[in-house]
Amino acid sequence: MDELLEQFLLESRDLIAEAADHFGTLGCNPQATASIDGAFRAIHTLKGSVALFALKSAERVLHAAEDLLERARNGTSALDAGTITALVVCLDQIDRWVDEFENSGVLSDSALALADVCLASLSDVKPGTHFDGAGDIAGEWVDGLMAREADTLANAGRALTAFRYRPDPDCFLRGDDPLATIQAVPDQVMFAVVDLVQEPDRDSATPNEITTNRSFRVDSARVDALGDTVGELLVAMHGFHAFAIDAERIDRMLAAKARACHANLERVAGALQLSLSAVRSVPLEQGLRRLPRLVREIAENLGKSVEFAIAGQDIEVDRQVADGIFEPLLHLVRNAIDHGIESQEQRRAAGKPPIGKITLRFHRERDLIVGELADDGVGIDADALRHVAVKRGLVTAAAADALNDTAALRLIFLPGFSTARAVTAVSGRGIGMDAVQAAVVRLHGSIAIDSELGAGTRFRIAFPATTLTTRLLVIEADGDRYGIALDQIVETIGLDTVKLSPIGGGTACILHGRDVSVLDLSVLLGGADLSRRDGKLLVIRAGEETVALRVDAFGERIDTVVRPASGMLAKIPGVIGSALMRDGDVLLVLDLQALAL
Amino acid sequence: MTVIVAADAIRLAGRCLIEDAEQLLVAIQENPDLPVDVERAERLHMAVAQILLAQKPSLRGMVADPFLARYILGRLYDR
Repeated sequence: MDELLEQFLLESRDLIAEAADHFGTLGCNPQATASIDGAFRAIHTLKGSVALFALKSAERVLHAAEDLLERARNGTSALDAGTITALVVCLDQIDRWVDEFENSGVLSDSALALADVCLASLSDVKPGTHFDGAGDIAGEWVDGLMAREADTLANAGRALTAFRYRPDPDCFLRGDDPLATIQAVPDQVMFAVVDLVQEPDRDSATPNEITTNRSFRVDSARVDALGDTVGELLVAMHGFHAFAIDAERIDRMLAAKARACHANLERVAGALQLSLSAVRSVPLEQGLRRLPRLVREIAENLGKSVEFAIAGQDIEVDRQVADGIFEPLLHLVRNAIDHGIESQEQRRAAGKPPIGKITLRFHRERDLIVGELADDGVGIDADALRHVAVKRGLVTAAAADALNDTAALRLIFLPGFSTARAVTAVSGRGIGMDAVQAAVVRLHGSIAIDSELGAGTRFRIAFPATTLTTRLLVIEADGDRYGIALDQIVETIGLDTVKLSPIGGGTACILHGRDVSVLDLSVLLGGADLSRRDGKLLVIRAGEETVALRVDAFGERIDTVVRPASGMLAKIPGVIGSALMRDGDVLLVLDLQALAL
Repeated sequence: MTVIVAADAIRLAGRCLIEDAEQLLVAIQENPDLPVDVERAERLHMAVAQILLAQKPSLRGMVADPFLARYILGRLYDR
């Protein structure tokens, strides 16, 4: 891609996000001067950028938006909720045009008409509020002026006009002389410099300057390559550790030196890994920027009224996670608007506020980042899910009946499951919730669902903040070694400490007062059922169920890079990927949840 | 040349434009003890006035422009 265009796309999206942030603040407080200034600057810079390309329509709209914000800045016209909505609609349109421009290099013929609609919405805004005294939005400076110039006002004997002029920061660059502008005002009665800006504190200003100058953009492929190399370094370190153990048998002095050397290398490699994950970390919001706009579009297409709020989006995660989280969330949000949120009439009839609410909140839980997407819509009927799953032949009627409601809700994640009665343009395009689950699993995460009929649905997605290395437990089953991600394991127990009893066609044991079915990993992997009574149990959560898996033995715990399964490996069910062992052996990493379900 | 560094003062003369602002700043910083003589300044660009307001040198002579004298540089005479 042309370098200039690439730069433009990056910058324009940053600026759109920046303006959107400020509009968000202004939505709550239309007089937040810092946000008016911030939005003005973002729109002004964006206008300059689009002018370099064939984006005349975008330029026109941005020009009008800039004018409007300029009037708000100098106090000639106040922002209100209507104006801000109009600005957000225009910004959404600009965002769409940037997408369109990226995809096809030109704007479609409809751009002119769309620009006219945007311009009309901006000019609909009521004309500037005129201040004739204290008590309105301009309160503070008018109050100050009335007090300061009380004598002049009393002696004037006629109505005077007061106005405030705030030169913009670029005025000198444009060749303006604000002093000359002021002096050109005829019949001046009084003039005062207010808000005289103090000389900035140099000590506090310098570090800021340095931080901004120091940040630069790096092609993410380069950071990925660095990450791969660091991963390989960690694996090579494992080899060095094995060497130190071998050396012990030959020369104890040499072995001690090798161990000290290894410890040192390990410390430095650990620091390197930390620095790298800091480099790779971005706030979640980078991956979520387009979400609010898309929610507005989807809701509009479906004729639904939805209020959407995101919280906790400043939590930092690995870039891969921030990128990967968007698709599954968009799908969930789409479903929530399409199937969850009722029409205004239905909501009123159900005694709910007419506008539906969807919230997306992120928070940390130990090493995990948890995202909760909740809507206050119609909820999911577990019985309806059972019925559909049986009708589609996904489960037997007996199996469906045996599921409790929580487990029945998870039927929605089965491939080929869709409850959409009508295929709408928005959802029901054949991509199901199974795709959502697969996307979450790719991020080494898990998804849970909770719903109350008539009150709404809540999805909970938990995923690790960093994905660079995974902590694995090496286990043995049927003579082979496998890796299991430690975050999949609830607990490990010796088989000799529990009593196994036959239940139905299988085996179960009692753990913490609950029946837990016991499966043999060898059997799940297609090996022989040795029905051995020795070995260990790995307790995992498979969906909402707790399952214990019998394995022959536990090995070491290692911190390593799991390479995603590709080629032949990708076709084996239950295999997430592969990892290198300290001795150079390749370890298959299993997805126990997929195997046990 | 509208900024002149003389032995007894830094003199501003004629129309002081934006280009003179930096020169004035350097002159004030290099000669912190010299007053700035504004007697012959006909017009000050805001950038020049801002240098005076920020650096706060002592002023000599009354600036010809009443607007400047009353509203802008007045606070420097008061000191």
